[in-house]
Amino acid sequence: MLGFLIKKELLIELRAKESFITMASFSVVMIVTFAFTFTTTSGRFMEMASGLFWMMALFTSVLGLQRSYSYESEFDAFSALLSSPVDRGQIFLAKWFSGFILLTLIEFIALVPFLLFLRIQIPENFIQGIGIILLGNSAMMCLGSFLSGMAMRSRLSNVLVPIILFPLLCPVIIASVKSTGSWMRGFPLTDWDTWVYVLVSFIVIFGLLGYALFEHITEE
Amino acid sequence: MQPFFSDRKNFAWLIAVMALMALNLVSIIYRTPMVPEQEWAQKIFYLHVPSAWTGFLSYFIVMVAGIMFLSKKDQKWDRVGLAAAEIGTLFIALVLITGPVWAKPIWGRAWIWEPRLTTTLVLFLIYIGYFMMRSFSEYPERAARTAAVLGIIAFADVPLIFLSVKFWSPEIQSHPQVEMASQPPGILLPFLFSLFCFTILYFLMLRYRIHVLKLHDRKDRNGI
Repeated sequence: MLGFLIKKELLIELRAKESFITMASFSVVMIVTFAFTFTTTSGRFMEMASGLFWMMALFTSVLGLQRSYSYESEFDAFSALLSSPVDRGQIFLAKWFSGFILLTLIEFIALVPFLLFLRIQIPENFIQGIGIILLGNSAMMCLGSFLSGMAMRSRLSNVLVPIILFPLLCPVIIASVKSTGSWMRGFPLTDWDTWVYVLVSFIVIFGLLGYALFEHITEE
Repeated sequence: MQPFFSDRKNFAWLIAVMALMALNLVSIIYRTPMVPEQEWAQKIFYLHVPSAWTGFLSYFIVMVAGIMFLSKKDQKWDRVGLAAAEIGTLFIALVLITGPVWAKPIWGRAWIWEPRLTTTLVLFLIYIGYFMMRSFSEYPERAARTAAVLGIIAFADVPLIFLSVKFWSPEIQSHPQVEMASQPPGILLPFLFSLFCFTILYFLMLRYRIHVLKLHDRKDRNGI
């Protein structure tokens, strides 16, 4: 059933391509804005680059999260989904995994202009970088999917999601920025593996809480 | 329902809290020793630390009330959660005000990204979102459920926020409150007394606020 739900989410996106186009364009616009705002040739820019990358990812993810639930309100599709014989925790998992896939895809596309426009040299050990991006995205979309589901039937839900999400995501933002920064500067994994543990702990804690509590926030 | 302070027990509690808080203030101003180099600025810690303790205790109660509400579906627990969230945020705001007042003369800067203070700030921001979420919900039942869930999530996030901020800036010194337990009795006893006064003040405020929320609920139900 979970596979079917993820397929449904991705299929809607594949047909409409609304989130994909919006998120991809937004991330490129942000990168161009960064290039205009900061002196990319400055020696200190490399220290900031990881922060800028995750700032772009965070804002882009909010766009995706809002879209992922807004189409559910059309024709009251969400109520229909809730009345189907599906474990509600699996609906949360499907939103999380599909959002994660979409965000990761967009980040890998955005990585090209990011490295090119901001004149960042590709660090060695690319696999580690991919690992950090996957963990960071997974953590962001885990809590993001849960909170968007919670806020979707409130007034001003578009405003509410970032206001609640950003402070709760503090550990993820810090851990992602720190680990990406260490990786970009070529530090060995043993120097920054604490951040990996923080990200993994976050995913485990909020993945389990989200699965257990999603039923309560979607009660009619 | 009779007014809260018409109850003799509650009125006695109010008088006791007022007397103890007055005694606490006198004790902080006149009885506690001056710490060299910190002078009067140090005395703010007799208010700052108890406020922080009360704020975090309150957020813990929000989490417990959230769990109880989700399992029992009793409106009583929603009132407990909301009252604790409101009072907790008030005390946390006090922490965020008194922290920089102390830090400015001691550290030379009003704000430092110290792990405890930063965690307090982040929690404060989360609870701003909590109140917004409650007030923007269209149905009271849904607002109660989402608030209960958010209270649980916010508290579950505290250790991760604290740890990540601690590792983020390990070079930043820790609060002197860490050494509070090893302070001489001249400092420790008034500090523990202040902690006690704040705790009983908190429970009086909590009971009073729950009573007021109950009246609100009754008024809404009766359409007055």
